Amino acid sequence: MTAMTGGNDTGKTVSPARGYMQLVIGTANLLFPLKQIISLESVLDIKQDRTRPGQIGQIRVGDVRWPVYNLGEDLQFLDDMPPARKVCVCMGKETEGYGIVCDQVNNLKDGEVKLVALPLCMKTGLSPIEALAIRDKQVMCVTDFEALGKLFDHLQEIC
Amino acid sequence: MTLMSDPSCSAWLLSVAGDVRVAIGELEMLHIILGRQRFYTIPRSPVYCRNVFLWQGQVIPVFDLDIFLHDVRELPEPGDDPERYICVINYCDPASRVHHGALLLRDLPVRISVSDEQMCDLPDNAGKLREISSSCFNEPSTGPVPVLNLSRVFGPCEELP
Repeated sequence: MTAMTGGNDTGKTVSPARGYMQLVIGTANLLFPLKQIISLESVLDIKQDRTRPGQIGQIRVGDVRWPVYNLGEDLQFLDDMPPARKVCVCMGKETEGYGIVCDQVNNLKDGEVKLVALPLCMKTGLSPIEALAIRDKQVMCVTDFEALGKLFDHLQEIC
Repeated sequence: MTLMSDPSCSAWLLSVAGDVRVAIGELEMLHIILGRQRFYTIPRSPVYCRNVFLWQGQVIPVFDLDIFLHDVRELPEPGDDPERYICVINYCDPASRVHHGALLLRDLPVRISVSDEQMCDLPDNAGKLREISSSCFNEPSTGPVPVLNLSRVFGPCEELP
């Protein structure tokens, strides 16, 4: 699969990631590069801790504890975790990371998704969505650990 | 849509919001879809262009001019949103590449003929239409009708985060 660019799009090249992890959060479907996924944990393993704005708890990944966030369908922080949230997806790089709770996850191979550009008119300043993906006549949003992390930083500043 | 070079040409009159009418060129209209489509909401996108749908294997952004023009900040609840027509359009970007998009309409479009004599200035109360229109003409039945510049409509978003 060749890297995807687009016409009236954000102009950013999004290279295929050698597989994606699909996170289902309500009606939102987010795709993260598989290489950024560290582990999948049960929400039961989350220790309640709301010291950081937007954080609902912490989860142990190896020897460190990472913050865990619960997101709504517009990627806003939510305080209350719906019963549908079953999985905590821990993602990051080296010693830096966070967890996101979601309803379910799916492992997707490169060939299962077709990347398309995010239309230019849909890209706002802090949108972490880098591209869209089509799979089985369904549209999903491609993002990554750093892009979503920047959104979290912004949301925490305004909390 | 180049109105100035032809004695008259065809255009589509679109009802986009309440009593707001705009026009696009005849060849810019591709398809009209009646009834609901499966929309996919893209997080953190502008409230007036929040959804896409799949059409002929392509992802088509849906621009809601009613929300854009009236500076609505929150989407209506799904049940409150009246059913509208979806108008699939094509346009060229500044690099002459062809793209597709969709506009939500209150009613079916009407084909009209426009002549140079009808050209006029945008009305003083054009508001946000001024940002996305390239010209304007006087239509006997409705008054001034802005002509949409579709590459501006579907161009870079200026909404603040």
